[in-house]
Amino acid sequence: MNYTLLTPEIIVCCTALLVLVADLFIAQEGKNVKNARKLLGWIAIAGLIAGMFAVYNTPDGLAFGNRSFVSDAFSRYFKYLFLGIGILVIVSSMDYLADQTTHHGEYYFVLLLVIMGTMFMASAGELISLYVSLEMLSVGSYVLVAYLRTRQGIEGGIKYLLFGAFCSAVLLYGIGIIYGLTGTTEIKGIGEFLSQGDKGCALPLGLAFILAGFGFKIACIPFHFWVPEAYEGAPTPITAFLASASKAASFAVFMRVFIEGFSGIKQEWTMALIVLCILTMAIGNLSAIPQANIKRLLAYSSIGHAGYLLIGLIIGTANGLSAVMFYLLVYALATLGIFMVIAIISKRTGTDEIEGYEGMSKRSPFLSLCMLICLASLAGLPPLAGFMGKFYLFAYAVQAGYVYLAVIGFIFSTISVYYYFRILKSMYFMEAKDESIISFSPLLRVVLILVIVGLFLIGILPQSFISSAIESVPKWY
Amino acid sequence: MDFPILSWMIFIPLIGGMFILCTPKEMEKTVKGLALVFSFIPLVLAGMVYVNFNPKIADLQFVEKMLWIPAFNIHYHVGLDGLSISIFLLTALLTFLSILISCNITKRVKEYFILFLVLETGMLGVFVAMDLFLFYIFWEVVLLPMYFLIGVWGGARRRYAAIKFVLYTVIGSLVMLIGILCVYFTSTPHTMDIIELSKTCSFAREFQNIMFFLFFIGFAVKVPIWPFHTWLPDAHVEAPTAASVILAGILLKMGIYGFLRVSFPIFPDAAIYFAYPFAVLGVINIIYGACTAMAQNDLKKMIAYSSISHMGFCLIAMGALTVTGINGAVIQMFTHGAVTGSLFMLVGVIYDRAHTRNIDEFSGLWHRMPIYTGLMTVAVLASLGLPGLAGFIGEFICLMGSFVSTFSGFKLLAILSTSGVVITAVYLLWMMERVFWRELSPKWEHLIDIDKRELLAIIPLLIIIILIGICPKLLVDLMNVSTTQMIHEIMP
Repeated sequence: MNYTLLTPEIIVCCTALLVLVADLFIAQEGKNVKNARKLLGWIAIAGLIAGMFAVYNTPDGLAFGNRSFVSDAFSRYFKYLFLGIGILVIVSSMDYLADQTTHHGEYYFVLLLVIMGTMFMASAGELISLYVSLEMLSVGSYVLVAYLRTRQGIEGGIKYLLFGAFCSAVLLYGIGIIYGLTGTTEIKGIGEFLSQGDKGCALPLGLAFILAGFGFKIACIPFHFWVPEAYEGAPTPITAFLASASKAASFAVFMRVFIEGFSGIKQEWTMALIVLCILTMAIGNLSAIPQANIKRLLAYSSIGHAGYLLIGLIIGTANGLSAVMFYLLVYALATLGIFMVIAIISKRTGTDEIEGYEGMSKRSPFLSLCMLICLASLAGLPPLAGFMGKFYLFAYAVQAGYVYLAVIGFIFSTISVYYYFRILKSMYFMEAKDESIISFSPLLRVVLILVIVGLFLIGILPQSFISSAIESVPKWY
Repeated sequence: MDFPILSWMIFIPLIGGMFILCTPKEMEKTVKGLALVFSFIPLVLAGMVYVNFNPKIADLQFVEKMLWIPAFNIHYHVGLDGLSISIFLLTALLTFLSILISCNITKRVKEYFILFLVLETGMLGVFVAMDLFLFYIFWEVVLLPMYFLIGVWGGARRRYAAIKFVLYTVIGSLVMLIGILCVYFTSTPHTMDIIELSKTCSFAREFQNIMFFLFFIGFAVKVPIWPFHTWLPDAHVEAPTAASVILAGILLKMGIYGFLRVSFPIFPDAAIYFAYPFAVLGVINIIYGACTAMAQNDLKKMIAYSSISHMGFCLIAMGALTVTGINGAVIQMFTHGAVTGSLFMLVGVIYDRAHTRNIDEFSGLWHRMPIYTGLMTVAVLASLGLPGLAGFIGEFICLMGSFVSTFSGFKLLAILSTSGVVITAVYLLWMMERVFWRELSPKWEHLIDIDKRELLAIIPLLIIIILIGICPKLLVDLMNVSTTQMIHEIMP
């Protein structure tokens, strides 16, 4: 037993409770209410930063003697990512929610618990703890999507809930089958058992069910139907969270289960993943083209990115996994930048339609520039981080002999350039109907500049980030 | 030389762009001044490069090399040799002149000059990058500024033209990127260094053919080679003057340069294998481009198609795989850049005054704009290949290079290509006759002649055109040693 390994999670959990308690004592009315609400956000941010330091000081080890909580370089990499995403999401929320709802304490409370869920997911080395932490993420997300109680929010939340409940039941069933076959829920033990050769005929069924469960969380085809509605209906900072942290956490468990657990039977699932990967890239990117709502467009584009990421899992080597981890980092950074800009703009213009962005380059040159750089990064244009991510991923695909996957990936990247540039076209080439200036707080400006600098930094000097991704890949082979 | 002159040249415009970014947008004069200064410094450095360049050395000069991304053995490796120096110097000159000629813009001045300086960084980088990865980065850096230059400051159909340009180029360059990855993982040891790849690595013949084809797509879109050319007329017609100048003067040459730098040296067997298709595409480019140009009413569109035609000469000359041919291609790159650059500037001058480029609407401009007509005549004559001017040198050496090729049949192709010269003379002189030499129509009474700033931007190019026309040795000597070695390596 070594509970100190749980310090980061304990810190986040305590912060969540602290926020809830603090909410009881702050002003709910009057002229101080805005600052009081911001205070809650600051508490949450302080907790997440403390969590980051705690992650830094956490050694390798097992918290409970078994593998239900594993602390290793892999989990630490993802915890940094989630905590960082959490900070950006909260900064964005502080502005976005300022006068939208009265329940701020609960919002940050649930958000922190969800972040804690993603952290547990990164450390889960055993199917039961994995399932529980996945549910912690999911249930909190259902609440957050519908948090503002708008019509679209509720529609998105319900759809997400129904789909999610169904898929997690399927996942649980799959876990049951695998347990029945192998006699253990520890992923490592499953891997050792499966590599011995005695497999049993129910294995494909179990695999398929687990794949469906994870497919739902990473939003790959055909488990993606909740994505556009949930992304559109959710408060924009939550959309950012779903697109980045939720997806990254799901990829973390996906990698652990399929590479650590199932790599002995790789030939059984590679073909299925290839089909899913190609379909996901195709349908995600093609469906994004006609979208008129920017959040829906990005929802489909995030489906497309899940497709690229699956290539790394198909490669399945340490290189492939490090490429996935690196790609998740650059993808999350650009996505957060975009959704922060969208949150600022939609709060002030009241619309998420791409038409509403016409002439934005005059109304706010800074936000437009941020959007331009983040979109260019997502589209994979050098010298930005997104290009390095794609280069890294597709390079190892070519090396592993999946040239055709790289080719298909590149084709759909080209298509993605088209629809990302549609947003740019609207921002830069069209004339504004309403020429009022969009103003926002210096804090957001600073954070956005940091995001942009990060995108350039990772794009131009990627080596240290690549190395940290490579060093974080566990020896699962 | 210890001073990293090439890096300074590449990145000074970028630094200038950042300075402008920090300038308040109301201070338009400062913005223009900064842009001029930060594009003039690379020009001065270019002069130093020219003076210090030793044309007797075939290998790279001014080399800077350091490890950049160890995970992929990627180096920051830049250098110049005879293949690239001429077009590299022209880039520095043409960008400065383009910035000078666009000092009269009024719309979103700040963004315009930032984009132009970023564009310069990308273009200069392409011509000195000696690592495939670095080459690709600079290649793509050019894309976004051009997209915005066309899309924001362009003509009526600018949005369509801008996205068409982007999609064509992105498709081409992503195909090229796949090629780069395949080359990297096939070479032993894994490397992206263009020089190492061309000197030490020999790939299997079939692999070479496939790779040559992948790179061909990437470069062919930029040249543009028929049938990948359809983005060019749209982009040219819609682009603002200075962007057209850069597009025709430099961007098209990036494609030709790519063939010379990457495809031919790294895949020599494939280069021999594809020599005929290459040259035939060249002939198609020449004749198709010239015939289409003849049918155009829009001045810019006509020159755009004439560019396609002129690029054909480079292709047939490269396909011939002779020293003279490669020399011809490099010279044609340079001379066409200067000639077409000046033509687009001149068209821009008249468009600023008349707000039309329709040839049929003009008539007798000579009466109102004598100096302008004189300059235009020089540029047009250079473009149609009058001996004594630069255009003739390029085309003549190209044709001579293909005529002496060891491959049979190239003589016939060269003879076919000469018909392109004739058609070019027809449409250009016919255009001159219609626009300048008839009765002055009363509609154009108010036109004023070319002003000092515009003169200042155009005269240097015309001086170069005449100088190269009279004394081509200046240019040939720069490259001869490098091209000789290159051909020697391809065809031992």
